[in-house]
Amino acid sequence: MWEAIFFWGFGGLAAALAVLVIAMKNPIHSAVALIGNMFCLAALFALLDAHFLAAIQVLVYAGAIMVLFMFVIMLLNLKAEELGRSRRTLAKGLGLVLLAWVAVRFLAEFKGEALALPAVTEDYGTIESIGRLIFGPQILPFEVASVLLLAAILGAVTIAKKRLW
Amino acid sequence: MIPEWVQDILTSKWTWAALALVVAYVLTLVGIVVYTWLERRGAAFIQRRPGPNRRGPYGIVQAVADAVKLATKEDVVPAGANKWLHAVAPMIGMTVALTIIAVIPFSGDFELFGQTFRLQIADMNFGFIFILAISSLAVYGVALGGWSSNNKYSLLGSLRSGAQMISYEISLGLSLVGVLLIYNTVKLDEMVIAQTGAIWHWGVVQAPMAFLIFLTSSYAEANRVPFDLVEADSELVAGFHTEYSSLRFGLFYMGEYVHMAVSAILTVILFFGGWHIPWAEEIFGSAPYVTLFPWLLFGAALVCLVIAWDTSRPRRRVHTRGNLLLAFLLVCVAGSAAALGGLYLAGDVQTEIPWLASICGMLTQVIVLVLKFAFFFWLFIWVRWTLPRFRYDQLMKLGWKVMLPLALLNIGVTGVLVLLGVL
Repeated sequence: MWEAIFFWGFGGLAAALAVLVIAMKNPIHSAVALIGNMFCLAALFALLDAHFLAAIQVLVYAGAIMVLFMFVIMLLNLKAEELGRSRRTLAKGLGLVLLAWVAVRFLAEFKGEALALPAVTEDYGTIESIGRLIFGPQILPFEVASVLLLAAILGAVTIAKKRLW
Repeated sequence: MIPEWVQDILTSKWTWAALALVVAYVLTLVGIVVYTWLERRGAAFIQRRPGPNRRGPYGIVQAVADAVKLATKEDVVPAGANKWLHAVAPMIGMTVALTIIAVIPFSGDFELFGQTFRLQIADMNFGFIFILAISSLAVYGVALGGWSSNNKYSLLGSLRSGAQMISYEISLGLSLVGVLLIYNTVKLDEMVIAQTGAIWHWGVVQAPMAFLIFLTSSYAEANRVPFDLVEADSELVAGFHTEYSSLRFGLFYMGEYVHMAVSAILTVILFFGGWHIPWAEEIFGSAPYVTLFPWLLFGAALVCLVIAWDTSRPRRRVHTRGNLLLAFLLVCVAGSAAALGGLYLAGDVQTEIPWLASICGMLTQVIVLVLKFAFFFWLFIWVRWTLPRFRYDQLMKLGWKVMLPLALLNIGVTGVLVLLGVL
């Protein structure tokens, strides 16, 4: 019962905040809504017994990436008049139509039954099991991701630094 | 001997979680009164002046007066400020600092009617990552507070704080990785248990470099001197909280103290054996804290007597009658503590009333933890009134060019030593 309450609470909040991210005019407000959204996603991970993943979600997304987003927005410091008026554009109309289509498809497919997920094992979602997975069978994707990040860091350094040595 | 329902309440997991919550919040929220008093008196002590000493014994009621003053001030929201974020920002810092307390273990396991308990609100299997995750959110309080005030000094202060907190968070996290390698666990309570016994099992002896990096980074994270560039008053008026007044400023202020308290208690738990007394098991047998409890009472009685003697001395221009009353009360407390200790020793509590004995053992552990915590809290004040402030470029250089490589080196060396079986 509690799980359902928490699921619908955090899920609804996450959806509402996700809408706010695009609906808010002030980019700082959007960023704050996105942080809240990350937090709710972490709560949903925790409800799925993936506690470590939930903590990492908060640590990396809410605690590190969004801080940088926020600083860029704060440094730009946009005034209200620079933000411009909201206009009705074709893209927005098309987006609404697509959203309606997705909603219709979802309601058509949704049968109100829970999917039969495999039972959670004792060590599910712990640091040990995730570590075994990352450094065992999933070692290749993990290393590829780290090389990708390294390439991004090198790119940032090259762009930011005028004189490399 | 004890009615069923009392046993039910005592053995309920929820009771102890709630009790841990109360212990934690008393340590922090009510503790803030003591912290501010300690800070002001400590500053005065280091600067060789009396400090606030008029209201109440040793001026401790002054802290209450400070709080009343803060609460009754006008709450100013500057023109052009972002009202919503201006109101939310002070709450973030405080909430973050209080949330971390949830994973801190305040005592070891103790048995009650055949069940095992621990004074810890949430026993998570990733306690240490939870701390990193939650404390990484603290920067939002400062950043949003400075930005929403519509003040250049505030914005500069919050930008500095953001850069500083991100830089030092990395070395903080990396220094903890070294500790994690040594204790071979991420649970805080297991880390404390790993430090049982001899003093060289303590984290500070096993990982001195990690301790230094952790201590420095935690000062930077709490925005305390020598890293208080966030509010460098000679450059930025008051930094990110320039435009805050009344209780909103109070929340920032309290958040800083709670943050310091959390850092101090984490230092104790990670590096100074938590609730352990070195060699306690060797000297006092299998249940050392239960045996030690009456001696703790005798010690408390002695401390009370010393304070009573000091307060009852005649002084000029001090509330003499109030001090005499306090001295009398302290003597009464000392007498009853000593009497309780005597009773505890006379009646064989450990075999006669095992549930009382285990609660007493738990209390002893909490008090040992609080005493160690008090030292590290005092260290914050000591450092604040002793060291000068860093310059901003020095701060960044220290963070990125000294602390980060040292933390990485520490992980490498610790890893090799653990592999070789030295640690």
